[in-house]
Amino acid sequence: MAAIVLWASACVDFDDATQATSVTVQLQAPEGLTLDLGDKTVTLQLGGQTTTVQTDSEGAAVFSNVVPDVYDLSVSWTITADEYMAAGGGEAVATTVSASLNSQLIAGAEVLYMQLLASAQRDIVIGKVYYAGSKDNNNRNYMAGKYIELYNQSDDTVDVSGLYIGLTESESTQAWTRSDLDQTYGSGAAILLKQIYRIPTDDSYMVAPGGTVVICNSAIDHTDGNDRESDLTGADFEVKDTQGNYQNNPAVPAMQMIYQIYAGTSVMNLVQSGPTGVVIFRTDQDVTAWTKVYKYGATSGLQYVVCPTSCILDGMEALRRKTSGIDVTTKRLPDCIDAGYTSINAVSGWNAEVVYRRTRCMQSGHKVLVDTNNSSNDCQTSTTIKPRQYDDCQE
Amino acid sequence: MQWSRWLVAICALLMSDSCWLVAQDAVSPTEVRREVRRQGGHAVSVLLLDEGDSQPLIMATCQLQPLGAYATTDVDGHATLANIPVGEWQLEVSYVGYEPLSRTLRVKADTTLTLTMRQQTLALKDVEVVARQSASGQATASVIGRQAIDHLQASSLADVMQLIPGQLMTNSDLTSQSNLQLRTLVNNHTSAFGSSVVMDGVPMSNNGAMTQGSFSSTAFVGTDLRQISADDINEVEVVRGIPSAEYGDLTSGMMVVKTKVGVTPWQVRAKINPGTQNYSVGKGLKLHRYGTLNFNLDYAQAWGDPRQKTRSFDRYTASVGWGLDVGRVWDMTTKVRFALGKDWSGNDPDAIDDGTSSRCDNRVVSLSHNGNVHLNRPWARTIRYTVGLSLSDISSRNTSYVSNSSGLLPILTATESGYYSVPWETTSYLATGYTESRPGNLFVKASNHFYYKAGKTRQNIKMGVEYKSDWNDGRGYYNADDRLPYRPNSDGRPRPYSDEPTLHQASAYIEDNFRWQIGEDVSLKAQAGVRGTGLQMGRAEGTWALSPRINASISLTDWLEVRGGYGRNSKTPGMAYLYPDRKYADIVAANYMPQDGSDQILIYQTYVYEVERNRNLKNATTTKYEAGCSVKLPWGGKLDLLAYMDKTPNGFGSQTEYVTYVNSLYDQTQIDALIAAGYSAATSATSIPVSAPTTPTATHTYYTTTGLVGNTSATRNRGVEMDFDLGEVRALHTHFYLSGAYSETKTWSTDLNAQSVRTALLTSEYTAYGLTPFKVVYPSGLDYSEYRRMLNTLRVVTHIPLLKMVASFTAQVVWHDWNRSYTADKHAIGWIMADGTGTGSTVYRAITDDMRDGYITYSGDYSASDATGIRISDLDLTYSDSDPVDNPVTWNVQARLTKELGKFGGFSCFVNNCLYYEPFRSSSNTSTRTQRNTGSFQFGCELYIRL
Repeated sequence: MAAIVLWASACVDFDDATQATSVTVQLQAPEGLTLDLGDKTVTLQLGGQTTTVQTDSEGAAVFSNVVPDVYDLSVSWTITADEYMAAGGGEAVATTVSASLNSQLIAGAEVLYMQLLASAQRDIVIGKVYYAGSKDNNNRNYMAGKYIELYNQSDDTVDVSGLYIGLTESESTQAWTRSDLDQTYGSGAAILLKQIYRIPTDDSYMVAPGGTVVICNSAIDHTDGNDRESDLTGADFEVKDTQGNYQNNPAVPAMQMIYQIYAGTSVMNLVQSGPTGVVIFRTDQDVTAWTKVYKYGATSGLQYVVCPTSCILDGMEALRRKTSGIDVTTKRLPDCIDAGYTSINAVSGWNAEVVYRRTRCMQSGHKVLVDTNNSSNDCQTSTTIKPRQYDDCQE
Repeated sequence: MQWSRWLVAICALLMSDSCWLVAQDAVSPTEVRREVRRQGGHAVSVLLLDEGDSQPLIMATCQLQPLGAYATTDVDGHATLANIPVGEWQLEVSYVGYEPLSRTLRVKADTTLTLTMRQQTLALKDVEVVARQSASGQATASVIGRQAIDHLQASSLADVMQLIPGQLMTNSDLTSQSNLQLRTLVNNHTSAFGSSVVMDGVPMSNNGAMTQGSFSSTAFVGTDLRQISADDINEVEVVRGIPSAEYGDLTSGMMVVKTKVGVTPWQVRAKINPGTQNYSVGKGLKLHRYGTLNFNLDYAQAWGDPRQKTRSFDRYTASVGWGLDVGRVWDMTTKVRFALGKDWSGNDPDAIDDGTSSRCDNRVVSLSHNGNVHLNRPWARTIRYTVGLSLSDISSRNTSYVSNSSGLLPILTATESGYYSVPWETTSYLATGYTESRPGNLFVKASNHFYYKAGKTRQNIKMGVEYKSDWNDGRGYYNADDRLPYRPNSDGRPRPYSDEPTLHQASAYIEDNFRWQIGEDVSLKAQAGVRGTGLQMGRAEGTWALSPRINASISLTDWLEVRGGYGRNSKTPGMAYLYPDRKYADIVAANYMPQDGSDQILIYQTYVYEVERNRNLKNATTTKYEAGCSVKLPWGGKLDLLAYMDKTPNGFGSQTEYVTYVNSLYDQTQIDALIAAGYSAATSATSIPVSAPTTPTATHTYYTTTGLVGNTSATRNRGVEMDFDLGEVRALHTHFYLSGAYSETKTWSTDLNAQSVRTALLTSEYTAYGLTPFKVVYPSGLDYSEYRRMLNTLRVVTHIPLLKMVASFTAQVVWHDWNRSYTADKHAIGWIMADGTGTGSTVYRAITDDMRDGYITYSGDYSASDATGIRISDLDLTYSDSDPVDNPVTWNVQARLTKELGKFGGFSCFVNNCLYYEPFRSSSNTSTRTQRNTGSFQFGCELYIRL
């Protein structure tokens, strides 16, 4: 018997097993810009594990000992307004340079090219999205404390009145895939929204540098009976409930409802398990007149608003974490809005995790959050972070 | 009384029907009477003895077929069948625990017979461990005897169903309710409600079952087969075809259960499998001149999953039966039965006990008394009567946390229309709700049986009348604490069941079992009858039904028989359908929750609609058609093929009917006005009526259904059943049986198909409040669900009398398992809107072809050009085709063994899915592989002792 085992093992070709490989990532400058591509940090990500490598002076980063699998790659850095002008940009504006490759199969030694995009840094960004909900003190689901928080990155006071908040389509089977939208409306040109709200225009709502705007479904103290929630009595805006299911705090101004896909509800449908995508946009167009479409190929059912990405200021996409992992192919937002994705660490939600931006630095007395146009880089999760609170500066 | 007059009229009609049947043989009524008088009197006396000890057998039944002459043996084992006409008859004798006896008897003069019967044992040549098909010319049925029940190791009546052609093999599971579903591939509400279980002559009524809240098509409405312990059963007949006119108040089919009556040894049984334990003890005593006394005690205990003890069922049953023969003229059996079923579900003992649990105790005490009075008159040979009384107490207690995920839960307790200041909860809370249902049923039946022979015909006629009464004096649904209700929503209002009227049902029937020996091998057998039923006669909600039924078969040669049947079965609506719960609609009127400590206001409008009596409800009627043939094969085998179609176009379902009401809405600008109108903070446990000010911020018109129940659920079942007795290979002591069925079920709704206008066509104001300017009506009955299944079951039974052992292997293959949900494209055909009178009534407006390019304005008027309205063509509904789901072929094998240990007793054991075949297979429309046959593996054993 031992001889048979030895003979059988001798026949095994161990060289045939999967071997680690090395991959070269080559950055390619945005069109029309001349940038120094050296010493940039490229991140290779598989699940929760990340590896970073600095690029050489030619913009190439070499990852060695990479086990063949499907990886996400990203790179981003910011340049000042002066540097942007010097590189050939048309307008003096602080800019984020970034690129990403999602779901990239690495099977062997190869060169991957990453085309960089340059995007102007925004004044108002989405700072936090609390969509997970929580379990109350009786271990029952609680979702009234969900909120969205906006953050003023700039050094100027900004008036947010008239700013639109849009929630992306979140069907378990995507209504339109990214490729359906790209083929119909042009690459990265449109997304689908299920709900649209607007900050009222009846008054100015000024946000100081480093200031926040908390928009919630119920502006009450949610810690009563639920230790994991927050006190939202000081929220800036409340989506008023029409059904008598949420407490409406009359002291908090109402958000205007522009479009609502679901009958018999008025509150923001932030899906606790994800996918939850939030965008903010401004436009002079009549949003109610924007095109509405059924699910791709369908001719009846729910209708989603087609939102042109050209008017979107910022977007954050949280994907659903299934037991089998996160399926990046279900991304709704194009790379120009959010080149990556974030997610809570629970399959069905209810774990009280808040998705929020990391803090990059202090500037002019206020925190500046990481905004590389890529939620994979920019965002993290926490169960303890409170509204209007951000991490201390990492630098 | 009006209904009694009606009953008499039906009886007269039935009598004329029977005369018509007689006339078919071209013999006038006068001649028939003369013939019967002439036939007058030969007596067949039987002395029945045990073959072993020659002791007389008491309370055995002796029947002469096809006459239906009937007698019971007395304490000395004697029975006399009087006034038997000259001819050749089949004498059939049966007795509990003994092998049935059948003997051809040529009667020319008074005859005396001494017969001996043998106790059933595996040492005998004949054993019957599969279902036996019913006799030709009668309802299509499967008869399952005691040996088959033993071999199955059945714990309850539910377990014997797998012997029926077309049924899937299943595991025994006592922890979930089980009802009788015949010839349907999908759990069907009307079919479950309309299946009848007749136990010792008394139908187990479910008419008094009540529900709280709106109609639910998934609520359990059938008779729970778990209540009936299998160990007390002597024989079960499952009628899936057209039943005798003797049975009524059913749609899909029925089970006729006969429990043990007669002298039996002590019998102790213990069944154990990983999820279930079942113990019973029974004995039939001889009381000599006082007849026989049977009793049976049974205890069963089951866990849903032995690994996770979150669900259990305990059953205690006790029955006492007394059989008595009085002077060979009057024999009777009386049974008193008690059953207590306790369902429980809650936290696993290893988990954190958060106080949540559900418990339901079902107590039933029932009495059945059957009597036969042998008058032996030409027109009244045997008068049979049955009296049944059943009293149940079904008490459930549910405790669980009521979720409050949105942070505001109004406590709605108002039971009258109006505006109410309501209390509310902001967090989840532990709540307890009770339901107490106490249905009662009285059943009385009397029938006359007689027979005669005219020429080559034999007629066996039975006619009878029945009265059934159902009531429910339960407290219904209520909360332990009304401030913390268990179901704090519109369907959570308490409802006392005792408020509803008692149901009265009267029926009459007549049936002729007819046989005409046309030639030596050619004969016609038929069972033709008609049954009339009336419910709540004389009341506005009363219903009635006339159900003709016929089963006929013609033997064309000694090996070929062709048969067919037609019949209508009607199920009267139960109490829950005739008297539905009130419909509550609750809409918020003011939601003002300042967080600074000032007064908070939550006002709800409650709208109540009461369908006091469902006046337009009809019986659910199933029309059955059958055609088939039986072929006797030269080597002793037999092939039965039967095609059937069952149509139920008017099953019970919710019926859409709209009323409107106007809700006044107050925002924070009106709060002062509300306070001025007398609002005070709701501190009470219940809602306080408030008078809302007359100038609301907005008024909205809401549409609500009325809670009506109608005949809106339609079903069609059709298919082919096969039963093939392949015969025995003697060298192997092995018998082969192949059964199979191809079945189709199609279900659709005939309810009004009305929908709100799609949200995309409305402004966000309408969408946010869930409003619609009108209801759009689409054609009904175009959408359907369809299911198809084809399966075969091969039973290989090896019986070695020498070893007193029988082993069986059952292999079942599901060749085809297919389903489809079809939704048709539809044009809007009309709209429903408030009629403008302010009474809540609605009006229907039709959309004609020339209106399709026009608009319906928000006020509900048609306009050819007002583009501010909703374009009619935008209301069309189109759907992409949904692909049918075709599941892969699966198979399953069961093995069973029964071995007797001398006269002492024996044991049985079984393994379901004995090859542990649980493959991963994908269906036709997905590449995802899912595991099949899961949960089909089970094993267990049974030990029984006879003393």
